[in-house]
Amino acid sequence: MNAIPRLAQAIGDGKDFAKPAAEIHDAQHGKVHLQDVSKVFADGTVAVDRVNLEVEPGEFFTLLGPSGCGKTTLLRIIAGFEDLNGGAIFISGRSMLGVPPHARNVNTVFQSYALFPQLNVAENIAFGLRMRGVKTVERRRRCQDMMVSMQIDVFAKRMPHQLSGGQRQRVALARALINEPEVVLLDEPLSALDAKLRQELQVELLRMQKRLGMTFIFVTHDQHEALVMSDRIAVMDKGLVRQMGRVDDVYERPRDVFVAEFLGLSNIFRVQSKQGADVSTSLGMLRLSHTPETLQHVMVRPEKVLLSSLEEKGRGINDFHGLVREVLYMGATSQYGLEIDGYPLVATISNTQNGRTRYRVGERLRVHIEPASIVGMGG
Amino acid sequence: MNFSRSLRTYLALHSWPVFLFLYAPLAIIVLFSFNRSPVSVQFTGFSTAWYTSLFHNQDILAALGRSLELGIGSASLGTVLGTLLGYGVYRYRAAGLAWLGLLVYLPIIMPSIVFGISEMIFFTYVHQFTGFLSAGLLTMGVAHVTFQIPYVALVVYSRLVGLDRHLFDAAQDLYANPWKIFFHLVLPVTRPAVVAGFLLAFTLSFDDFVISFFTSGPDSMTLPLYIYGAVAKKGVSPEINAVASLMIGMVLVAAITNLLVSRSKEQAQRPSRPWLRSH
Ligand SMILES: Nc1ncnc2c1ncn2[C@@H]1O[C@H](COP(=O)(O)OP(=O)(O)O)[C@@H](O)[C@H]1O
Ligand SMILES: [Mg+2]
Repeated sequence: MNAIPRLAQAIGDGKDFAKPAAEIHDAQHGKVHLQDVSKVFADGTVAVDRVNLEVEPGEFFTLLGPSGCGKTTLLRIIAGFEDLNGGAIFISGRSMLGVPPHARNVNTVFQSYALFPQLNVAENIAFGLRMRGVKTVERRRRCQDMMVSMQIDVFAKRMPHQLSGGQRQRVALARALINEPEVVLLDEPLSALDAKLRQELQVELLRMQKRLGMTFIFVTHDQHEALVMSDRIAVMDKGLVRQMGRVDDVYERPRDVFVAEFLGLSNIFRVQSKQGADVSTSLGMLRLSHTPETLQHVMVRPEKVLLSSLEEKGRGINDFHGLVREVLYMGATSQYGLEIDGYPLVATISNTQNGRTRYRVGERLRVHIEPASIVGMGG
Repeated sequence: MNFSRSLRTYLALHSWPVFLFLYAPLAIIVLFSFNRSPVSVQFTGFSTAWYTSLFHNQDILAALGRSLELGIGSASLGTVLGTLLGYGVYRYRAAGLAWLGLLVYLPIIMPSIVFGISEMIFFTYVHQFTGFLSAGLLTMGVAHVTFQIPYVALVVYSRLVGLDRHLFDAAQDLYANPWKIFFHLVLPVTRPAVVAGFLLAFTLSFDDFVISFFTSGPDSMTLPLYIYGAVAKKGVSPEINAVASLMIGMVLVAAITNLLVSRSKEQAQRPSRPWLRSH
């Protein structure tokens, strides 16, 4: 226990900020390892299907997927609320089979917040310490420190029903963090908040996680949230992990159509035939810089599509003539709906880059895609 | 709009006979408890003599004492057991134990005369074979607890069902073992229901005639049994009217207190304006 940095200290003066938490912890502390984990509910629903995950200590790890794909169930398995139908779980290197939730050093921020209605804010936050038998004086002090650092100390005596959504969210987070758990599990903690507050809290949550160096496993169905916050993500679908990796890798190199479409906008074309690095698609011949073995689709992100006027010289390969069908002005960027030989292509262009970047509906222009920007994918 | 207004007028006019049927007998009882004449058919003048004689009637006071003893005793035990049952049914509602819920309902829908007779037969058997449980306050208490449990269990269960079920996960997540969950979450959040269950159980017992009639012994005459006996022997006397009036008064005071307390609580719980910190 002494190896864990004291929360108050970590928050207090930021001295620990420069020191990565992993150095303070022993190597396994806060590591979560799932091995072939499956969960089948009594009604036959396969909610989690042979999932393998390794979450590193101090990492911000996100489970991303559409509603009903098994994110919550996976989180509940880690917390200990659901038993497994197969596989094994290790937290900080210890097997969690048969360990009930109250004996796991893991805390959850529930989607509904689940604040205790009969307790005020301070009592809610101190609940975990009280259950563990922490002495009253220390409990008060740690609770006060926590509330100050979360800017909720003025609400200490309020009841949960007297708080706004954002305040409840903070209390729920404080109630989990104060216990200095090995892992913090967060189930769509921001989804009930309005957009502006959500953005503020995203940044705040991320800073807090980095400062404390705790392992966070974060569940969301919001791809923007996942992109902003995560070190690594696992994209889930129907109980399966479709792809796992650093968030930028998954975005740049999605493995399949599902991942490409779920994470960001994409142009996807079916591969009709393949000759070396050249593939034939509905768009025409495309040159790729890298072709994987199973190649069924090629994908290009809209921001990787380069537009120029027809007068400019073409580059020989991956060059097309396009027609602007639709322009969506989005402030910093504009999104162009193009048509190439009758096939649609979406391009996103920054409105601040040098040169001519604005095109009108009905205008003809030159479209270029770098071979390195094209991703070959399986199904 | 028009329809609802005419409906309201209709209800306002036509609910009066119902209220009349409901409250006129009660009003008459209260009125005649102050009657000077001992004959309960004509009012001859105002008097509080019957209340005075009531408080000197040792039989009535003893019966009242027994009723209170039985009511408080059985309601206490019935509340503890009913609360545990309500929590148990809630906790294991998903584990294929829905039939337990039916078992809980059964004593409520069973006619009390059947219930009373079967309890009586049961106690007679037990007494014959073991020598324990001779008819008296104890057997009445056991019978009362038996029919109180389902009522308390239902009140507590409906309170639990109305809560966010993740509260129980949250408590467990915050290191509470099953015992701590019960004492630090279940009891505090169900306290209003437990109190209401106790009051309900007490009222059921205090007011019960049928089941008490079959399970009582020679020395366990409670107030309802006494009133029945007195009426059967001598007809309705003004003294009985006075007892009844006192009971009506007690119930009214309890109901009004309950209403005021719950209303002020509701007001306290109404969320004040969400108050955001400005950064
Ligand atoms: N207790 C349960 N009993 C039966 N099916 C369940 C239960 N909980 C979740 N499911 C099902 O399991 C699947 C995954 O649910 P969940 O993990 O809540 O998804 P998510 O959090 O990604 O929206 C869904 O099909 C859901 O209906
Ligand atoms: Mg969910």
